[in-house]
Amino acid sequence: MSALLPALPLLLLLGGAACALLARLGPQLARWAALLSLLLAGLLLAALGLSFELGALQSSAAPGFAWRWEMAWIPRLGISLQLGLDGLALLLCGLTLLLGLLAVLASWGEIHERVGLYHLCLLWHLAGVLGVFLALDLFLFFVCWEAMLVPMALLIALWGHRGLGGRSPAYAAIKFFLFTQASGLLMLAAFAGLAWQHWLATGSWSFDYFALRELVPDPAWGRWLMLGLFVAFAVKLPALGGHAWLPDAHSQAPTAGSIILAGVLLKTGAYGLLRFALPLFPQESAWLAPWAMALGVGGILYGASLALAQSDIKRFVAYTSISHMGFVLLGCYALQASALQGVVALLLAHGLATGALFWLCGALYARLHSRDLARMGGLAPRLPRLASAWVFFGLASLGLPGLGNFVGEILVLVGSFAVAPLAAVVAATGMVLAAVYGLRLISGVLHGPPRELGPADMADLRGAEVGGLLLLGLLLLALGLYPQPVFELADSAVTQALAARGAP
Amino acid sequence: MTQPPAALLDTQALAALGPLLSLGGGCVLLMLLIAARRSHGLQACMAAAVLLLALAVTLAAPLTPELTPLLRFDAWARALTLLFVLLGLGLLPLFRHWLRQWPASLATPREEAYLLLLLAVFGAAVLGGARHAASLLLGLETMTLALFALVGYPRRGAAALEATLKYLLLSAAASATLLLGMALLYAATGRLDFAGWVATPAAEGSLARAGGLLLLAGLGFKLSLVPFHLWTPEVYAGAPAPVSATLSALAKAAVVGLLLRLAPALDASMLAALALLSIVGGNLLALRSTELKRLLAFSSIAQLGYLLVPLLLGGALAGEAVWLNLAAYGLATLAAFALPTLLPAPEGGERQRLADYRGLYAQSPALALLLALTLLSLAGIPLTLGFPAKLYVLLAAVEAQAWWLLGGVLLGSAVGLYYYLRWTLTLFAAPEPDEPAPDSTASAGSGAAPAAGATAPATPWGGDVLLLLGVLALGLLGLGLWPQPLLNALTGL
Repeated sequence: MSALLPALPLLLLLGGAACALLARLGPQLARWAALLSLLLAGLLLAALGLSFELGALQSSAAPGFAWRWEMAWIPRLGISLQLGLDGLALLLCGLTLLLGLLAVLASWGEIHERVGLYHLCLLWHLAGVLGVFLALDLFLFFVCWEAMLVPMALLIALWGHRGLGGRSPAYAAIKFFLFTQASGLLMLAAFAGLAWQHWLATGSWSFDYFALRELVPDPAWGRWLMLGLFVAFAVKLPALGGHAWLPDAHSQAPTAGSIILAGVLLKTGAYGLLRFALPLFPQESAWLAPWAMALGVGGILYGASLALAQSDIKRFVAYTSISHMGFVLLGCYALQASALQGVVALLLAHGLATGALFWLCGALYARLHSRDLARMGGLAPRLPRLASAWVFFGLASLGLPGLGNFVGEILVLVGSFAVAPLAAVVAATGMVLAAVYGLRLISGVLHGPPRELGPADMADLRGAEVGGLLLLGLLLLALGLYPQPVFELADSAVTQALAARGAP
Repeated sequence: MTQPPAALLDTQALAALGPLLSLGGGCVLLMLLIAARRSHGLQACMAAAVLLLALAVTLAAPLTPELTPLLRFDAWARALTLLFVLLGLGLLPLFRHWLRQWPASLATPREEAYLLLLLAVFGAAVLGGARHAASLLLGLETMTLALFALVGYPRRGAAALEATLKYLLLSAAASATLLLGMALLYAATGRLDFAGWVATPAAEGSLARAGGLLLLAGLGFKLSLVPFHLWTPEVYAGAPAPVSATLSALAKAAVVGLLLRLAPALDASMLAALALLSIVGGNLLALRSTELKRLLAFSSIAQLGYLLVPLLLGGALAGEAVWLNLAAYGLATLAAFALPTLLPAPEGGERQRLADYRGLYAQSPALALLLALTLLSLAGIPLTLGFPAKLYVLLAAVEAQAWWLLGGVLLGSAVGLYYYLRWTLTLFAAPEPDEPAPDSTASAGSGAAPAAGATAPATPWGGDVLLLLGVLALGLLGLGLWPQPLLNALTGL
């Protein structure tokens, strides 16, 4: 079964190439090819996941990794192609493929130009994301980290919308690329530094995750190396200070791009913190924790209050993402098992809820040709299905108990209250702000006097759209009511993230 | 100087001289052939045959570290000669495509361009094996003189003539600086061989120090390091694209080879300053350039800066890092200059402006993908050869704990991303709505006809061009995905 791991990203790479070729015969073929390759990858992942035996591998060299696959790549530098699937990776890969499917569906009616190239970019980006979640070699991780950027930049630049003040989508694309790529270079330098420390200690270069976990870096360099990683992941997350790319990229991307950006791409930053920054640098992370938690709390309040000031609905949702990711950062650096479990739940819930909200933003834009909150209102009687979905996911986003986000946020708050009560208390006011912006988002679009925006006979959501949203809603509900399976799957990764250096 | 006077060359020495003999002899034969019978196709084949022969001879020649007082043929010299001959082979199809469009109205015959290219390769090979000031100067001047003539080859072109004049004057000044540096070093050490210079620490005595600095300035000009870079964009933009490729790939690689030998004799802190300035300056200057050849000029300044970092630091990985960067740089430079050579601009001439490349993917997907690959490789994005090269630079800097240089490389790379990505995005952008879409629907993959504007008659590509493009794409992508074979070959150097 392990040999099937590389097939996951490869399926998407091949599927993307097939899309580009088939598009010459007809654009619909490209869409079906994209759908098919995502479904195949989904089936493969399900097969791998169903044959998981939790706890069976706890004592082995790679605790928690049910499936591992390795192949020599650049032995000169101790680099190998190494992939591993544990519970956390399984959850996030599943989220990626699910949102990928929805992104293809969302593009069905929106993208009509150069359909082949579009799906190629989409699938190659998703292949890079899968690689990020699966990679157990730092070099390979970085390769996938970068490989997902170029296709996404192309998606934004070529199929995006004009932004505030008529800025071209290429502006947003380049801004997104520069922020993430420049911080990625810091990460590469930090990886190079780790490999160098390994070389000093053992006389051989290595980028192997497990080998480097055993390594105790020189304390003089450890902090700097950890900071390199932290900056890269914090920009991707994004934490306060590294967030400037996000509102532009999210609001100017095509609908599928926004879904993937919010639903999947932001998760890679949090995943990096959980999988790499915390376990590779336990002492250094403890040193950074107060600052990182402060940054997280700042992000919660900043994102929430700026969301309230937005008039563009996509920018609105984008700023709420910054607020949610503040909770993620707070939870990660609480360095506490229940907070980390909350982070995992929040990642999944945010992916589902925000992905759905961006989809609905796209659906609204397709009908109204506007994203201006000030010009909307009174849509509830005109678009009843869309309105119900908007209310549901809006409530999910503001953290209504019973839905996934609430579980995640409350666990983060409980976990961080144990170590930093003040931060938890301030962060909890973010949940109040969330209620304010969530209700404003709902009532601003749906309620109030009807406006003349859009044609009189707007069509409501179609069957396929309703089906997709229903699936997301059910998953959110399941996560909110019975999150235990997620906690069990993520348990090994959480334990590893908190284990002291060198401990099994 | 323990070298006995080379009274008679034994067979081994003769074989070790084989690469130079085959290149030099090839130049003479080609000249005679041109005098006897002028034929473009014949002379192009002859040049290719000479280079292929030199390739075979170089691979077979025995390593002889002390060949003559002037020359050596050690592992470095062999690797450098191989690199130069391969670059020459890569440049040939570009030259042939360029010369096939040679207007009959021009009084200049076209066949001599091949002779000049061979001479440049020959000069570079001499530089690669130089171990004495005399051979340094001979090789450098042979190469540079051939390049002067090539830059000004289209004699009626005002831009090319202006470029020649600039290159000639500044290059002569640089050669004079170099000579003065050598004279000072001779005064300080009493030696003209490299070993003598290297044996004397640069800090010892102000004469040797001044000599080293002047030497560095002369070489810095040839490598167009900041602040000796002013000629580069002008000359690259004015010269025909294949000639710019020669200047950028062959001439710079030859001087890097020389630097590899001389680095211990040079002031390391000064070299580090030049590298840092080049990285930052080259990238900043490239930000605003809207012409492909100018962009490549500035980007080559920055790339040379990256390359200097491992060269001056030394260490376990430094050697491989320099060679890997040379290979990546050479491949990317050839691929990048292939585009303006092969694609005519809508209004005739070479395709230069950024706007002319807008939507290239729709016209000619294969060429657009190749250029995108090249730009991403220069930017050091993973899955291209540029990435392992960049990683090696970082590793070498970390290993030597050269934090300033590491910071410079990171900063420069971050700035570089902007313009490389801007060009890449432009390739895939939709054509401007107000411009009529180019009528050509030819796919480059078929090779039947390159994309052409309405006015410029397109010259179909020969099989050699297709082969070159295939090899370049394979090298940039294949070796980027799987660099280990290349590393195996480089580790022994």
